[in-house]
Amino acid sequence: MIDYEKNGISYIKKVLLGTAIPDAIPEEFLDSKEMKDIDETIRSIRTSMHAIGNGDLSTKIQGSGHTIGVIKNLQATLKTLTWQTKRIAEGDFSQRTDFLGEFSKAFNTMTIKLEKSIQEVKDTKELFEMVFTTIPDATMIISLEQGKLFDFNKAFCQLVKYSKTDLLNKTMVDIGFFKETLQENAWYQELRKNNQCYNTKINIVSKENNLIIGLFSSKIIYIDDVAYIISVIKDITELHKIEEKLILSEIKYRLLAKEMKALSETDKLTQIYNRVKLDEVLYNELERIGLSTNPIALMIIDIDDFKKVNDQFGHQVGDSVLIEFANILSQNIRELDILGRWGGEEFMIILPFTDLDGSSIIAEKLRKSIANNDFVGVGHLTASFGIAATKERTTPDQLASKADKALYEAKHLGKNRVCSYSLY
Amino acid sequence: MEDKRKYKFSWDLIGDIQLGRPNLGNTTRVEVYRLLQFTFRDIIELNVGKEQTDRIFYDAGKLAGQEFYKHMLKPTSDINEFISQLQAALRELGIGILRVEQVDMDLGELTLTVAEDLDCSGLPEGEEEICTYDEGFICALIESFTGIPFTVKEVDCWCTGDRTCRFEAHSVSYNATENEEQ
Ligand SMILES: [Zn+2]
Repeated sequence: MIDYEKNGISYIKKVLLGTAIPDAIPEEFLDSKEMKDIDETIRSIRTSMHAIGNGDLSTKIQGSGHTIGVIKNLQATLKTLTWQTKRIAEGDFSQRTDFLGEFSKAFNTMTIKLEKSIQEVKDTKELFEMVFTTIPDATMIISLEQGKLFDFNKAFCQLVKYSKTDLLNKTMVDIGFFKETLQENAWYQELRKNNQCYNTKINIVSKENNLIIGLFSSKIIYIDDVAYIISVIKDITELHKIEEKLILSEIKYRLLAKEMKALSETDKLTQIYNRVKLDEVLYNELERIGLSTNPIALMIIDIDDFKKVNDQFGHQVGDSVLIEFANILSQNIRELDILGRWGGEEFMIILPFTDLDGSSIIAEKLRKSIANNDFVGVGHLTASFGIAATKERTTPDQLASKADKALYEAKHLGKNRVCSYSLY
Repeated sequence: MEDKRKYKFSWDLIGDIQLGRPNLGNTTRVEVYRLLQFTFRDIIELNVGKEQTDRIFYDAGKLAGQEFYKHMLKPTSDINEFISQLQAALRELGIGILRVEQVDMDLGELTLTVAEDLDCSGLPEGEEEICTYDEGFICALIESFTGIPFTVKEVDCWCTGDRTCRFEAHSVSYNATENEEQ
């Protein structure tokens, strides 16, 4: 009897505390209902707690009695929490848990906070949608990979003249959206590189096949982990036309101004520079001398006995002589020399970087060319040359009066000759 | 017999409690409720036997559930809204704490537990589930909501030492189709 009790206690200890337990109750206790109840209850506690511990809530808990009841209640609680969590996941934030102390508080706070943050996300989404639909600029969202329209606003439909149903599920290629592949590719490239672009000019085509010049501000965004491009498009077609007109009129204005300047500097008869331009060049060249020691020469040429030509052949012939004379001069000077009509039958040549010797050689060449020329309707004519040269700063008037003096001397000495006057 | 019904139930039979109980108000104690139920049970069982008594309580519970649904819950077609309302009502009226373990309306299966149950929580342990009235009550609620017949069985009960009453509800029509297929 003592052994039976001892064995009983030892067996109960084994099934309560042991890791591995016998598959069945020992034969010696089979006749005891109490022992069988204890054995079944402990085995049920072991199995059910093991299952619950592993998150398995579907196990049917065997047996009865207070302890088993508590475990069943725990299983029911966990099952209910599972169901409530599923409900919350589906958006039912009215779920609350009571009578579970600290856990209830934490669970309920979590639910309330979750509801609040989801509401905030919803609000933000609604705000975005509101802005998206009401924004006055055309706005579209397309997938990055296929260029498929995901969403667009009313302003976009108005811009491209498509209806909402026209655009549903269409790609940019489907509607022939981009006019130029080069622009389109450059835009994609910039987006892939910088994730965004600002005011990129892209030509697009409307449903009616009209060209629209769009200013694209785009950004790559992610919706459910898929990359999209959101673009706000400003229509600058009209602006662009005005701009083009403006540029055109500006070019015209510049041309006109250039023409007017040329006119104001040109002698109408001979088409060489007039005295205004000569004065300007001379002034600038003499200013330049102040900065260097390069010489400059000034040559005044006067057609000998021109009054006789006018008297004998008339003014028209006189004018054609002046034109022919100017041509001879311009054909025989260097590129850097400036030739102009000084007045009447007087011409002037400004010879930069030229001293008295150099200018005398040029003058002599010119004199010979003239003397050898057969002027149309007139025959041979000669001209007298007065040269003044300087290496130092002087005024245009001083230099011109010296050249004039030399010319006077050439006339006095019998014309058809070159006289010079050095200021150095 | 049927022409001479004395107490065909109607919600009006509950009466005007505010008028009738200006001082004691709309509350009583659980003992009184249980005293009423278990004395009924005793006498009826003596008269018609155990099984018939269970049937009577099941049917009475069903009638109560139908009336409760009509008068205490707001009509809804959303199962979750229905459960929320029911939970709130049962708790407010002190009937019990209703918890949901599983709902699958496609399969026509619900598992509910009622803790701190008005009928049985705290009762001495016996061999059998006792909440047949509750079974009928829950069955009527679910049937009223879904509009299709259900059976409800209490699988665990305080009275069998389970600390909480667990009810399993099955749609009859679903089971029927399932059986036909097999
Ligand atoms: Zn029960």
